[in-house]
Order: sequence, then C-alpha cells, then structure tokens
Amino acid sequence: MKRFYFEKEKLSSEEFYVPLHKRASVRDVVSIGFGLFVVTYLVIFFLISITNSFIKDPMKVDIQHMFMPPSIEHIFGTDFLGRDIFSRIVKGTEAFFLPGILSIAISTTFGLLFGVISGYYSKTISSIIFYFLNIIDSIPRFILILIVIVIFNPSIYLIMLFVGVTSIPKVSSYIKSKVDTLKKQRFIEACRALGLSERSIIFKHIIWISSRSVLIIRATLGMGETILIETSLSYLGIGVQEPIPSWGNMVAMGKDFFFQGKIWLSTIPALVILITIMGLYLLGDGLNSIFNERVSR
Amino acid sequence: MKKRFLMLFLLITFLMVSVGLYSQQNGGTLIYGEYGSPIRLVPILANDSISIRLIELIYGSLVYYDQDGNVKGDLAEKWDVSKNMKTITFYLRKGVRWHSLPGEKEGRPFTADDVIKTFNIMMNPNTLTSIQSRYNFINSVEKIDDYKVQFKLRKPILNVLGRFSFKILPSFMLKGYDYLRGNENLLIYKHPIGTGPYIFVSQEGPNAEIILKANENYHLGRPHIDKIIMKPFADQNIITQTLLYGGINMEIRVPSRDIAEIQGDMRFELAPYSTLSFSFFGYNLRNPVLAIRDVRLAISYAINRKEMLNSFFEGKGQLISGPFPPGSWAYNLDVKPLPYSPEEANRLLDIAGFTERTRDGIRKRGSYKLEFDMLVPISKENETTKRVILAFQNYLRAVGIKINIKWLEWKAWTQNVFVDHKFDIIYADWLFDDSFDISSLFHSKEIGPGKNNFGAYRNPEVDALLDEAQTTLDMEKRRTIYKRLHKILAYDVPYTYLWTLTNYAAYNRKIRHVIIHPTRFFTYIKDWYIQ
Amino acid sequence: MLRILRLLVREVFYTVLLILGVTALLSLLFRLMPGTISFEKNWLNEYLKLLQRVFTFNFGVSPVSGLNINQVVFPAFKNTFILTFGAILISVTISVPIGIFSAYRSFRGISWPLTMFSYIVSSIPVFFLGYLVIYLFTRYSNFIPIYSATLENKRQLLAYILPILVLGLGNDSVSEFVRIISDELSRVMSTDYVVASKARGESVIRSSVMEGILIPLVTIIFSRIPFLIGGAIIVEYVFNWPGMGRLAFQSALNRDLPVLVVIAFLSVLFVRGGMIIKDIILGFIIPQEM
Repeated sequence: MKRFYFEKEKLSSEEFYVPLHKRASVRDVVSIGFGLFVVTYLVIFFLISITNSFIKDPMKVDIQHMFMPPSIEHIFGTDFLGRDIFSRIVKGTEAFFLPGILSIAISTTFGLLFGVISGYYSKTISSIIFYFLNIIDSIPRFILILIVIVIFNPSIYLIMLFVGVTSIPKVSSYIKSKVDTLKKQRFIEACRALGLSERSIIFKHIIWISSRSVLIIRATLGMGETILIETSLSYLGIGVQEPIPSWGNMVAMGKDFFFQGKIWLSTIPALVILITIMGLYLLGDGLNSIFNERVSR
Repeated sequence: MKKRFLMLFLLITFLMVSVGLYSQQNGGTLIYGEYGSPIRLVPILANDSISIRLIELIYGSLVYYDQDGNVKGDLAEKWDVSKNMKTITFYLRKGVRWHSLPGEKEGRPFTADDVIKTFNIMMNPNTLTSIQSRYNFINSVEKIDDYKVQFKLRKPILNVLGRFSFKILPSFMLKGYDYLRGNENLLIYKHPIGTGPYIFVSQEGPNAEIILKANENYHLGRPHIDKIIMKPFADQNIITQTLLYGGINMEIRVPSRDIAEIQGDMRFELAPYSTLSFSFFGYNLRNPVLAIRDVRLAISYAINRKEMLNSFFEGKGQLISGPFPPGSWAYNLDVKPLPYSPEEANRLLDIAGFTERTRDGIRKRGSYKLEFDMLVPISKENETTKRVILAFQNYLRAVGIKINIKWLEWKAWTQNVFVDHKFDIIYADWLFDDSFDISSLFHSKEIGPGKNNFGAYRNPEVDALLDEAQTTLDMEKRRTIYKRLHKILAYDVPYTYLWTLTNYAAYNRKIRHVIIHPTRFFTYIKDWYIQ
Repeated sequence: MLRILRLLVREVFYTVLLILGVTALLSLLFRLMPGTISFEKNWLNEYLKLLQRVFTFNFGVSPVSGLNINQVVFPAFKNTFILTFGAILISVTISVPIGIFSAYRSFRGISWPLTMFSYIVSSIPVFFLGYLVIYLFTRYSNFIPIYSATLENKRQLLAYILPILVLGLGNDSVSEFVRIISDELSRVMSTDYVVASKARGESVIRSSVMEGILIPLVTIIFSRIPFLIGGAIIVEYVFNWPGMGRLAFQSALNRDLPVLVVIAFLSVLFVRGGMIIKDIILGFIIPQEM
C-alpha cells in the first residue's frame, strides 16, 4: 500500500499541505535513474560540442574511408563521406539543445502567467484567455510549424519559439486547475487573513506552489518534444541542413544505404534518438508519479 | 489423300503459329518507375527528363531519326529541299488524327494549322522556353494548303532535316493563345493530346501514376504493348526493390550501387545507354571574384574528380575536359581533363592575390573573401548529388575557400539561377540532342532572364565561332570549329567540367526488342513487345 | 437525453466561435506572408471572404500552384481520416491489455518486459520505424504492398495495413495509453470502494474499474488526435500515402500557403469534432451532472 503524504481525495480545510512526494517505487527509481543518465550525456555532449574539444572533426570528409563499420578508431563507424559518426552525433546535440531551452522557457513562463491569471481572476477573464489558447491548441502542431516555415522561412530557434507557444495552452490549463484547487482550499483567503495583503505576494506564493512540480516535468517533456520535432523536420529536409549534423538528417541520409547492408548509418542516430526521448519521458514520468500529479503531455 | 491431309495440317499449324506469334506480340503492360514526377507534360515548356520521356510517347513530330541515324517521316510523308537549301516544303501525312478528347469518340484531324500554330508559339518571345535559339535559323513558315507547309530559312544549315524533330501541339486546344508561360488554365496541361503512339488516359493528381494506352490508329503502325504506366517514386531506393519483386518491370535509371544486384539476377536485363549529357559546376561570372580566371581554374584543380567518380558512381562514367560527351564527334581528345592538384590550386590562388587568411582560414584579398553561395535544388536531390556537393565543399575548404550550401525547392532554384541570377556556383547537368549546339549555353546573346547562359560568360571569339558553326554546311569544317571551341572553353573555365555518366536501365527480360534512344528513351517504343 | 442535447449545442456553438477565431488567425498569417497577392486592401474584407469560403466549403483554386483545392484536399482528408482512425484502433487494442496487465501485476511476471517493449516501440522515431518496416516488407516478400493507385482492390486493402500499423504503434501513442491506463487502474483499484467490493467477492472489473479507466481513456484518445495528424505527416511521407499530411508537406515545399491554410482549417474541424464526440460519449458514461 502506497503511502501518501498528501491525498488528493481528502480535502480537509485545515490542511494546506503542499504535495511533497510519495515513497518512490522501484519502477520510479529505474525511470528516474535512466532519465538522469540521458540528461547527463546530453549535457556532456552539448558542452563538448560547443567547445569543439575531445572529438574528431565532425565535418572532415575522408572519401578513402567511407562506410567503415564501428571500430575502435571510429566508435560508431564512418558515413557515406568518411566522416566520423560518433562525433557527428555529439555535434548533433547543438541542433536542439538551446532551441529546446527556448521552447521550455516560453511555454513555462507564459503558461504560468496565463494559468495563474485565469485561475485567480474571474470566470470571464478566464474564458477569454482560454478561448485564445484553444485557438492555438486546436491546430495540430506540425501543421502550424509548416505554415510558419512557409511564411517566415525561420531558423530553428524561431521554429522552437512557436513550438513553445503551442505548448502554452496545456501548461496554462494545468496551472489553472492547480490554482483552482488552491482556491477551493481557501488558500487565498488564508493568505489574506495572515496579512499578506499585497497581491504580488499572493501571486508569488501561488506561482511558487503551483509551479514547483511543473517546471521540472515540463523541462523534460519539453526537451523530448523539441528533439522529436527537430529530428523530424531535419529528416524531412526542412530543418537543419547538411553538412551541419542533426540526428534527423543523419537518419535521412543513411537510409539510402540501408538496402546495401550498411545499416549503421541510419540505425545508430535513430537509436540515439530513441534512447534520449525515452529517457526524458521516463524521467518526466518518474518525477510525475512521485509528485502524484496527472500531467497530460 | 494423305498428302492433302498433311497440307491442311501444316496450313492450320502455320496459321495457329502466326496467330499465336502475333497475339504473343501484342498485349501486355509496361510499368516503369521513375525517381520523381514529371513537371509539365507539354512540349516546348517541358525541360526535365521525366516529362520529356512521357512527351516522347504521347506526341509526334514532322520527322525523327531511326536507329541507324536516318531521317524518317512521322507527321510528314515527304519533303522537298530547294536547290539553294533555303526553303523546305513538307507534305503532311493525311488521315492522321489527334487523340480524342475525353468524351469525344473520334479525334480531330491533324492539319497544317497545327504545325503553324506550334511554330508560332514556340518562337514567340513571350513563351517561357529556352529552345528558341535552336530554331533561329528559320525565318518564317507558311501554310500552302491543309497538308503542305513551307519553311523559309535565313541561311542554309547542315543536316537541317533532323532539326525538325520538335513536337507538334494541337491548335484546336490552344485557340486564342499566342504564347505559353505555363500558368494558363488549359486542358492540355492536365490532359495532353498528341499524335504519338500512346494516348494519355489518366493521372489522378500531380504526383500520381500516369496511365497511357496504345494508339490503335497510330499512323506508323500500332505499338505492340497495350498499356504503359509510369510510376513516380518519392524514394529512390524503393525503385530497384520494386523491380525485383515485380511491382514494376522497368527501371529507367538504376543507381550505381544497385547495378551489381541486378546484374546477378537472371530475370533482368541491364542496358547501358549514354544520355549525351554531362555534369558540371557552373559559375556566375557577375561575381567579381569568380570573374578572375585563376580563381575558377584553382577550384578546378582543387577537386579530385576521379575520386568522386569512382567512389560515388562506382566509376561508371568518364571524366571530361570540355562541354561535350567524350563519345561525340565534337569532343577534342587532345584537350586533357585537369588533374587533381591542390598544390596548383594554392599556387593559383596566391598568384591571384588571395594570400591573407581570415580567422577561419578562408583566403581573402582586402575586403574580398573566397566565400561563395552554392545553390542546390531540393527536389532533385538524391544521395549522390549530396555527396558530390559535400565533397566539393570539403575539397575547397582544404585550399581556403568556403562554400555555403543553400537548398532551395525547384521553382525557387530555377528563379534564382536563370532569372534573378542570385547565386555564385551551381551543380547541374546539361542534356543534349545530336547537334550539340552549345550556343545557347555560351553565346553572349543568350545572357538574360530565362536564357541558358546563366553565368554571363562573354568571349567574342567564342561568339564568332558559334555563329560560324551554326551556318557552315561542311561537316569537317564544323568538326574543326568545335574542336577549337572545346579548347577555348576548357581554357576559359566558365564551368568546371566534371564527367559524363553511363546510365543503366533495367528491365524484365520478358520485354523484348528494347532499343533505347539516348536522350528521349522511348523513341522506338512501337517495336518493343512483351512475351 | 436533453442534457446531452444541451451539451451538444453548447459545444457546437463554442466550436463555431473557435472557427471564427482560427480563421481570423489564419487569414492574418496569410497577410503576413511576403509576396502574397492580397486581393483585398482591407484585412477585414479578406477575413470575411475567407469566412465565406470556409462556411460554404468551397475553397476555389490556389493561386500558387493552380490546384483546385476542393478536388485535391477532400480526398486527401478522407485518406488521412482512415489512417488516423485505424491507428487509434490499433493503439487502443494493443495498449488496453498491456495497461491492464501492468496495473494488476505491477512489476512481476510478463507484464513489465511487455510494458517496456511497448514503450520502446512507441518511442522509436516514426520516420525510422516506417522506413524499417518498408525495408523489411519490400525486401523479403511482396505480400503486403506499398500504396499505389493501380493496385487491384484486394491488394489495395492490404496496402492500408502498414501505414496504419506504424502510425498506431509509433508516435508515442501506445506508451502514453499504457501509462494512463495502468496509472488510473491502479489508482481506482486501490480506492476503498473497490477494495471493499473485492472483499465482498464481486467482480471488480465490470463496474467501477471499467468506468474508472474509461473516462481518462476516452479523454486521452481524443486529445491524441492533433498528435496523430502531426505524425501522419511523416508516415504519409514515408509510405507515399495520398493523405492530407503528405499534401501539407508538399504544399510547404511549394510555398503553397492557401492549401496549407485549408488543411489547417480541416484539421481544426477534425480535432474539435473529436472533442465534441468525446464530450458526448463522456456525457453518456458519467452518470452525474457535470
């Protein structure tokens, strides 16, 4: 029987306990552990890549040594131009890391803002805000991205900015529900009663309480989303272009050689994408279940 | 009694065999796979090879070349060339009908009006095409009667009859139009009507299959194969696989890496054909840095063409030193392809004054950097194109030149290169017909929006030689002129000439009597049959 | 019954309002595009014109590519709809048993590897999964064909299998469904009510458990629709499937904004339509007043 420090079903008026955490199960530990492993290598790769140290040159063409299978010298082998695949994988993190952070920043900031405002203020304001958010929410993300690409011919940063914008509705509605819960608990009245008269202080408290769990989870899920979108766009040929490496365009270029048995060109980046995304989502899940929230992606 | 019986038996057998042979020969469906979709199924406007192949099936021309190089009549039955060789009269074939329009039972008759209309549209300066320079030698055309047209030439031309192989359009579908630009709302764009051996049946959408059926009333004899289906593929790798398991029975162009696989398979035939085309890197001489000949020459020395040909194309092709395919009469064998020499490249760049370097190692001279924009069309990409371009970028980086690759979709690419001239370098191929008339590429009067001298190359000596070659009637003289042109064009380096590739088509052995035309592919389709 | 009707009316009304908003947004974006020939000087006029087109479902011809939009987009929409519907069926069919197993047995037995396996397959990037499937199926047999317009009908039906399978399995749908189902199931199972029922020996599965998971399941199925449309873009590209996703991508390459806008609009309809249906279904399932 799992023990809870805070049970959602019982809303006793005295208890304003903020959900802390529940006892972690084995599943959660494994998930979080794996997720942290993924985050670690992502950060390491990113740092290596921007400092251009420790790895071979990812752009170096060596036609005499094309298609070499993984070996000691080339951990993941070489590609169709003799370039070292491992160093290209490392360099590929640059394609999504910072844009991903941008996307997360946008979705959390504005999501929090709108969520708190609509939770705190009257129903009309809330409905208006959510009307606009629903407009954004109704258009499938990828189609919006295609439209943005046609109109603005954007860099990957601008694209991720829009992706961040498309995530705002979900974050907002989640935050709003949390604020509503707090409202039900008369949290706000209590604050006022305690003499915290300034609205900003109330805002601070509300924001702090509602956002704690969301931040980390949103970060992991947001980065996962970013990776998926960036690699998909690069695969389709409208994201990061050759010769700049991206996991997506590596899969795309590699697939032409699949039929000849040179499967590692395509499979290795795909596996890396798989492991990274899984790790991030598992991390999010594990943290999620510990905080006992139900977050929809 | 026995004798008569035997004779009857033989007669019946003979009849059965011949009927059997005949019915064996007629029938079947040719399904061929192409990488990509046709851009426009209308002659004059079409300039991509997929469209050209389909146009070859659907449309006819006044004359054509047979396999042995003789001029034969298609829509023209016979012709007269005047003594001074400046007037040609064509007697058109009577009884030829255009394919019928959807909904109509019988097609309209083909007459001289169609020839006149086609010619006028083709030569109208507002028509968006680059083939006009090929027919500038024609002064005018006149309709003598419904089945007789007369062309008047500006001056006599060598092998002039072969020039009249341009496709004829139906005038009744173009009423009111004096020129075509491709954006008109015409039925013929969606449902091509021609006089050729195959009739267009349907195409469900811009990237869908195209179905053609045999023209029962084809004036040169009904083709044997009943139906032809063109299947466009978005993924090049799948084409060979589809051929192997029987989804298609012919592949127009087998990628070099799949050749070995098909060679080993007894069910298929691998047919090499050279398309009279060559690949090159083209330069925009409007860029002041690229206008320096030493820079262009240095780039040519800096790249290892042999390595690229061997590694990316399995060596199936030949390096060239000038703008002609090596097998042709125009090629000057004395001009050798440049060797790979980064040292020579560096030396030339030093001589040109680009001795300073930026922090990234790019050469510069004052404020001029050796940094160029290379434009590549996305829709024509395949893995070998990408590899060539990336290798090119890499070779140049080694001598201090930076290439920025810009991937554009086809329409934007054509606009940038041929109309706006906003580019520095491109990688492309030119496809030729037998006359190897390169004047549209290098003559100075072909500089301008929509014309083929996209690099603004100017050399008065070349202009003079090109003009002379167009008008001379002596084959030997022409050969000499071309050899000289080859030498000059190799020296001037308006392009870095790369190679000509041997193309391979693969098809199921059940298809017989397959003879492939080097540029138009399907010219001899009516003799092919399926067992 | 009346309740449902009231709900329906409210939803439809809201959807219409949304459509007005979406159209406004799309026509604004349209204006922003450099180089578009603006037919109307006034944005308001253009908006009204677009609105008129939207409500009569007649979109005319695209000035960029010359395509007759109605002719091209509607059949494509039908194809994508089939794909999405089939994918949802597959996702649900696979994830419900796995989810139930996973909730009941938690960590032991066959359920955990199975859950992990479903997670992994789900997280394989869809473009790779699709290509892998094509590779396996074209190289070693031609029993299941890839889509093409001239296949005979029987074979054409078979061609539906692969893209639906890939879209249903990949795209993270299965892992999300499994997670939700097993979470909800374990939550419901551990409430006192159910424990008490079990103690009484009643069959737990039927009553409250079913109800317990049905609500979140239905919710999440319909909220996955936007993701499925996005995933369909890639799956259709890989399988050359003539649907809205492939059309959207080609239009993007051709810079054909009018077609993209129409596709966006139809997707919104699809998504909102799904929401309405979801609310109706939930209205039937949840006994008390909402």
